[in-house]
Amino acid sequence: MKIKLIILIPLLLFLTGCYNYRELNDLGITTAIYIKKDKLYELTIEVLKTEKEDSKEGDMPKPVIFKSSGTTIQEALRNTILKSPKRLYAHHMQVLIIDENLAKEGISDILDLFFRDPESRKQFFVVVSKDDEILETDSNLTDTNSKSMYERIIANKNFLGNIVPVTFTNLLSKYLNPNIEIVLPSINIKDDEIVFNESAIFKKDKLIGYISNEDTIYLNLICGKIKDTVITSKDKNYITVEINEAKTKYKVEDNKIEIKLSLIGNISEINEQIDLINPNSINHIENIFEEEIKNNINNLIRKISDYDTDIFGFQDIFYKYNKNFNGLKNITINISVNMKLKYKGNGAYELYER
Amino acid sequence: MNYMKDKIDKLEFCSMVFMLIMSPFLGMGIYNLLKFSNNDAVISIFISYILNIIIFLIFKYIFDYKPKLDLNEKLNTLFKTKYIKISLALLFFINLTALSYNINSFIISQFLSETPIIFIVIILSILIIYINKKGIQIISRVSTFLALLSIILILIAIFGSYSTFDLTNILPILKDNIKSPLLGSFYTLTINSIYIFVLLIIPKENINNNQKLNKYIFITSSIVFLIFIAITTYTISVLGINLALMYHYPAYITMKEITIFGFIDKIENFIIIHWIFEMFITLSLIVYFISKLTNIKPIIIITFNILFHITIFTNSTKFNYLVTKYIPISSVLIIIIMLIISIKIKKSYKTL
Amino acid sequence: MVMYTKYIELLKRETNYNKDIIYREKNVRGKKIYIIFSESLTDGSSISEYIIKSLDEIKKDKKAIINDIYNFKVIEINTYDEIVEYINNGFTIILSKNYIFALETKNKSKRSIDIPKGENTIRGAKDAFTEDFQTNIYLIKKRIKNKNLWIKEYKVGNYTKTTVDILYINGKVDNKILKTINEKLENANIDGILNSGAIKSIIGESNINPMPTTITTERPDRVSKELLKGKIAIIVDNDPYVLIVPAFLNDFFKTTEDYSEKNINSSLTRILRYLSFYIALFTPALYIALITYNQEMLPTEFLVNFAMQRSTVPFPAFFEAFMMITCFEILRESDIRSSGFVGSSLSIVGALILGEAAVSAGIVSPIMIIVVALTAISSLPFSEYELVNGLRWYRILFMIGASTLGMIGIVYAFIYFIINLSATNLFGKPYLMPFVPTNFKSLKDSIIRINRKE
Repeated sequence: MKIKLIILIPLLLFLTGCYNYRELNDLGITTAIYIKKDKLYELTIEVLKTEKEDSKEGDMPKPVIFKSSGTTIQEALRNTILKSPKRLYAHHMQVLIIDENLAKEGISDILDLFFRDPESRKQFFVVVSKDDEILETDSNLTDTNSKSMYERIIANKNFLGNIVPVTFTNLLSKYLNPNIEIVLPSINIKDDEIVFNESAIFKKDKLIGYISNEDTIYLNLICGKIKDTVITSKDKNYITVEINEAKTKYKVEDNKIEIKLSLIGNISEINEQIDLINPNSINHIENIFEEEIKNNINNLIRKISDYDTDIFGFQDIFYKYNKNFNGLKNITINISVNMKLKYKGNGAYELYER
Repeated sequence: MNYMKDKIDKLEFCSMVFMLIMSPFLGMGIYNLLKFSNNDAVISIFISYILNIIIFLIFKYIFDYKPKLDLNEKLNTLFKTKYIKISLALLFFINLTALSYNINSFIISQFLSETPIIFIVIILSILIIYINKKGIQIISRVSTFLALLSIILILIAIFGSYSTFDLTNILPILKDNIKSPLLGSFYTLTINSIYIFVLLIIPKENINNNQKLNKYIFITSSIVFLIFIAITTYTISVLGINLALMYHYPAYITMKEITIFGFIDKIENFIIIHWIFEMFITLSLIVYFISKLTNIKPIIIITFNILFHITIFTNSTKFNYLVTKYIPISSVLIIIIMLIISIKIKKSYKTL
Repeated sequence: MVMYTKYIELLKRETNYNKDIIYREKNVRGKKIYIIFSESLTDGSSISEYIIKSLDEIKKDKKAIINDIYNFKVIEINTYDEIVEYINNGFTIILSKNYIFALETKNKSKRSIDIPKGENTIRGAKDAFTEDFQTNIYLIKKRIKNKNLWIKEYKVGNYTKTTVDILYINGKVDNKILKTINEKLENANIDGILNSGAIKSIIGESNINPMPTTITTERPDRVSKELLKGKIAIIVDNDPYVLIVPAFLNDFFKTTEDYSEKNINSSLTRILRYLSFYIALFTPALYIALITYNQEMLPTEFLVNFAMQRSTVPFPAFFEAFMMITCFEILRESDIRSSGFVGSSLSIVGALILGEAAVSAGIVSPIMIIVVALTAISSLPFSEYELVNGLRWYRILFMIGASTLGMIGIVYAFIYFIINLSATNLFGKPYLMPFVPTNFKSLKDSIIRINRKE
C-alpha cells in the first residue's frame, strides 16, 4: 500500500502538467494601452522589450508599439498575436489612455474587461487624450512614455495638486456611485512632448467639457485631496504661497452645505512691497488669499453648475449625512477659508531697492 | 475507544477555534454579508457577535456533559437510534463541500487559471487524508503553528491598509430599518460560527489544564470577531460599498491596495496564504469529525467530496446560488439538532 | 571441580592457533601458571613489569595474588566465555588449576586529545573527544564532578562487542526514556557497531523523517551542558562522536557560545540562524515560483531585468534550478571526500564552473548563481551535518512543488513539512517541543534568550 502511494503521488504532481507555467520570455509586459474607436476598437499597446541588446548595459530598452483592432477590447488584445508571438501580460500596466471622442460617446464599455480580468491590478491611472499617436511620441529620457506619465501623476499628487489622480479602482468606484461624477486628467502632445494640461469632466459616463489646471487645484481643495501645493495671488504683484496642509470640513443641513477650508502654509516668493516685519501685514496677506480663493471657488462652482454635473460629490455628502439634496443649482453653498502663514523662509524682510 | 493518550493543550484548542471561525469569512461569509446588509455590515457583525453567545452556551452545555466521552459516545448514551449521527454527518458534509469548492475555485481563478479544478482538489485532499491518518494531536499541533503564521499575516494586512482609507464610505448608517443588519447577521452567524460544534468530537478530559477553558474560547472568538470588523471596515472604506458588492472575493481585492513603507506593494498573493491555512485546518477537522462519528474512512468522504465538485458545482454562479439558498438551512438544522441534544441532556440530568 | 587448564586447549582450537595470542607458562615451585594475553591488544611493558615480575615475588595462591600483585585492576572470573571476552578486551589472563584472574593491561596507544575539527567556536575549550571511551568519560567527568553522574555500560554487537556507555545525571533525567533505551540496547541483535551513528537505528530513530533527532558532537563542553539539562549522552567505543538523546529541533540552533554572551547579542545570532535555515529551505523554490508562475509579485524593474537575463538561456527555469542545485551538491560532497592532494584545486575548478564560465557560456543566468550562492551560504552556520542533509530533501520537495503549481505548490509542500515535523515523536515527546505544544518556560530559550542564568 505504501509503495503504491509513493509511486502515485509524484506521478500526480507531474500530471498537473504545469498548465500555468509561463516563462518570462513568453510574456509581453504591457505598460500602456491607448483605446480609440472608429467602428471597431483600435488599440495601441506599448510593450517592453525583453530581448538582450548588445548596446550599452543599464539602459532601459526602447518599448515596442503594437496596433490592433477588434469588436471588443479583449478581442483586440488577443489579436496582437497576429503581430507578435507573446501573450500580453497586463499586470504591470501603468496607464490607460482613452481617446477624447470615445470618451464623448461613453466609457462604460471599456470598463468591464479590466474589472473582470484576474491578471490585471487596478492600480493603473486612467487619462483622456486629445491627440492620436500619443504613445508614438519619442521620449528623450530613458524612461518609457508610460513610466514618465505614471511618475508625473504621482509627483503631481504629492507636490502640485494640478491633476486628479484616478486609479482604475477609484474610477470604478465613482462610476458605480450614482452620487458623484468622474473627473479624469487629460493629455495632449505639445512640441513633441506629452503634457497634462486640462482636466476632463464627465456626466454619467460621457465627456462633456474641460476645466483648467488652476481650477483643478480648487476642485481638489474642495474635495480635500491636496497634499502640498503652490497658490499665487494676483493682487497687484504676485505673491506665491506654499501650502503644506489643507483640511476640508463639511457641515451639512437641509439644502445647505458649509465648507470650511483651513490651510497652513509658508510664504515662498513675494514681489510686492509689504512691510513683512509688521504682524498686520501677514494678516493682510492672509486676507488677500482667503478672498481670492473664496471667489475662485465660487466661480468654479457656478461654472460647473452650468454643466450640471456634480463632480464635487456634494450629492454623495448629503446622502451620507441623510439630508435632502435638490440639485447643484438649488443648494446654498457657504465657503469659509482660513489661511495661516507660519513661516517666510529665511528672509525677515522682502528684497527691494533701498 | 480510549483517547486518553491524545492530550491536547489549551492553547492548541483555542487555535483550532480560531481557525474554524475565521476560515469561511473571507470567501462566502463576506460576500453574503455585504449582499444582504450593504452599508450596515459592521452593525451586522456586532449583532451576530451577541447572538454568537447563544451558540457558545449550547456548545459549553454539551461539552461539559460527561467530560470523559467524545460526541460519538455521548450520542450513544443519549439516543438509541443512529438518525441523529447520520443527519449531523450529512449536514456537515454539505458544509464541507461548500467550503472546499470555495477555496479551490479561489485558487483556480486567481492563481492557476488554466489548471482543471480536479487536480487542485486532489492535492489538497491528499494532504487532508494524510493529516487525518496521524490523528487529532497532530492536527492540533499543526493548527497552532499555522495559526501563529496567520495572525502575523493578518496583522501585516491590517497595518498596511491604512493609506487608502476613506472612512466616510461607511456612512450612512442605518438608513433603512433594522431589517437588513439582522438579515446580514443571520447569514454571518450561520456561515461562520457554526463550525465550532466540530470541536465537540474531543472529550473535555483530553485537554490539559481545562479549568478556565470557557474563558479562553470566549476571548478567542472575540478576537476573531474584532478581525472581522476590521476586515469589513477596510473593505467598505477602500472600495466603496457599490464596488465591494461587485466582486466575488472583496476582501482579497482590498488587499491589492496595501502598500507598506511605500515600496512593498504587491503582496496580496502572499498574505492570502493565511486563508489557505485556515481552510486546510477547517476541512481536516470536519473530515475528522465525520469519520469519527460514523466510522467511515476519510478517503471515502474525500472521494464523495470530489464527486460533488465535478457534478453539482459546475460553475461559480451555480455555486453562489446554491450556497445562498441551502447553506443557512443546513446550519440552522445543525443548531436545531444541537438544541435537541441539549434538551435530552437536561432530561437525563433530571432522571438521574 | 573444573580444571581450568583444559580451557587453554579449547581456546587454542577455537582461535585456530592464532599467533597473536601468547600463552606463557610459568612453572614456579611445581605449580603451573599460565599467562595468556593477546599481543596486539595489550601493552607489553606493563605485562612484564606488573605481572610477570611480580609473579616472581609473591606466593601463588589465590589470596596472595588478589592481595599482592602489582597490576592495578584484578578481576576474578570463572567461565570460559569470560576468558574470551577479557582477552578480546586487552586483559591478561592468569590461569591455574583452581583460579582464573583477569588483569587490565590495555594498549595505551591512542590518539591524543586534539582540537575539534568540525565544530568551531570562538571562545570555549578546545579539547575534543577521541576514539577511546575511557578518555571520553574522563573529559566529561572532569567537568561534572557530581556523584549523581551515573554511567551504564552495555556491550552491543555480536561480533564487535563494542562498549556503549550511557551517561546521565540522576534526578534530572526522564526515567521513561532511560527505560526505553535500556530495553533497546539490551535486546539489540546486530552484527557489529562500528560508529556511533549505528546506535541511532537501534534506539529507534525514525527512518522516514529526514531531520535529525539526535545531536552528534565532538565537544565535551557541549555534552556536559546538555547533560545538565537532563539529556542522555551515549559514548560508543572507537568513535570520537558522542550522541545526545533526545534532541528537539530547537537544539540544533544553539551553540555553547550563546551562554557566554549577553542576552541581546546571542538572541540576534539565534534569529540569524533561524533566518538562514528558512533561506536555505525556500530560496530556490521561491525563485522558480516567482519567475514562472507568480510574476505578479515582482516589481516591474526586476521583471524586465530577469527577462533580459533569461532570454539568452536555452533551458526552462525549473530545469536550470535543478541542474545548478545538483551541481552544487556534487561540489559539496566532493569537497568533503577529496583528500588533501587533489582537494583544493578541484574545488576552485568547481566554483569556476558554477560561476562566471557558466554564465558566459550562456548556460545559466546570473540570477541563478546568486540564488545558489545564497542557498550555499545559508547552510553553513549549522554544525550538524545531518540537519543540512535533511534540509536538502525538503528543499527538493519545495522545488518540485514550485515547478508544478507555483506559490500554491510551495504552500502545500510547507503544510506537508509542518505535518511531518509535528508528527515526529521522540520517546513520546513532540519534536517541535518549545514551539508547538507551547511551553512558555522553554520558549524563553528558543529563538531569543530571556534568562541569563542557565
